[in-house]
Amino acid sequence: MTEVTFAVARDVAWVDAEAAGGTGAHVFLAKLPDGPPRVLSGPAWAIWMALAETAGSVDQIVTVTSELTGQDPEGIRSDIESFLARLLTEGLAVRSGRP
Amino acid sequence: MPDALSDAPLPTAVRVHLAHAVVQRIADDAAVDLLHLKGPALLPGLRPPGRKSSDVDVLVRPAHYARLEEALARRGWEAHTHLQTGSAFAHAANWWHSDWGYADLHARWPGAMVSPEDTFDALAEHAFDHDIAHVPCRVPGKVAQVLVLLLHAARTTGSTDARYVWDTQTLEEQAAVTALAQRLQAQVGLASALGDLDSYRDDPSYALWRYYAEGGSRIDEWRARYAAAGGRAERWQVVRSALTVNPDHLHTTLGRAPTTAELRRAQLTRVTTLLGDVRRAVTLRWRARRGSTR
Repeated sequence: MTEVTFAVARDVAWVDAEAAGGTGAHVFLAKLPDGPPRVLSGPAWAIWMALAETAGSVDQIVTVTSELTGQDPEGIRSDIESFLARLLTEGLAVRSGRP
Repeated sequence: MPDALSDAPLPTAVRVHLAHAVVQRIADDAAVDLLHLKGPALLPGLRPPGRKSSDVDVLVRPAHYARLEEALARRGWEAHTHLQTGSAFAHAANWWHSDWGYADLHARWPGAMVSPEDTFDALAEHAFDHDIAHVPCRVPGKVAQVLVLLLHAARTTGSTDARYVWDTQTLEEQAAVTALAQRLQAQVGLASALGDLDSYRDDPSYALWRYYAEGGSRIDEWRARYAAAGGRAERWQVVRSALTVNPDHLHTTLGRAPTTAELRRAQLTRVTTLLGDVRRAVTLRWRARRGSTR
């Protein structure tokens, strides 16, 4: 069985607020070339950063998100799965492999 | 999940980063060669501390310029100024998008006297992909980045960027920048950036670079532009520009397209103001000359 992994879609531009000289847990992103620009804050920011860092499985994304937020992995797992599904629907993330 | 995927106003720095990526993608789709300049396109260390960009600057391969304009227009961008009216050097047009803000599309880089196509080729020679907003954007090599910054600083009255950039280069890097300036016939602009403009007192563009370095009156600017113009046609263009209202600038000032009546009024004001400036300049010169002969 191939492991299912998730990654940021190649046609998405994104900027972590702190990397652009700002403050706070926000990431701004846009699907190229038309956008619209979107912002992810709080837990959504953490999931995005975990997705970008790992380009990995749900388990890996849950682990990194948990480290970033300090929350119990099992307590946030379903939220993360729902959020990943939404990112896929909007074309902001891609999935590889089959369950 | 709270706070997920909401629309929000973009902080300026974030908007500029995303706009670079958007312009690169549009250029890729239209098979347009361009180079991202300044701001987030710079290599670490070339940007003076605390300096932030408010718009995107790209140098476009001249043969691809019209294609990029068409592609941008198809994606909802609007031209705010045009090449001939955008600046004294007629080198760039300013485009705007409601989400991404402003982008300056340069067809050439002021200071380089070789052809725009040769300028692009030289600046692109060591170009590489540099991630902006996690999207690979084409930027010039380091030596070209430094020269571009220096020539830009030379056009910015009171800028201290040139000294910062130059002083942080090694002697070898400075020599490479000087060599590139020679290749592009950009020695006068480089000299102006480095405070050595007087070495080029006899150059036709001397007064224009001095005007940009030190500032001056509108009359000073027009005289300098006239002196720097290459031939009869260019000089006539300068005279025409001096006497004619720039509709792009009026559009920007008003925040909308000017009416015919507003254009006429602005035209009358411009000619009247210019004549007043000329009268004052002539009077001052005459008084100065009379004073010196006494």
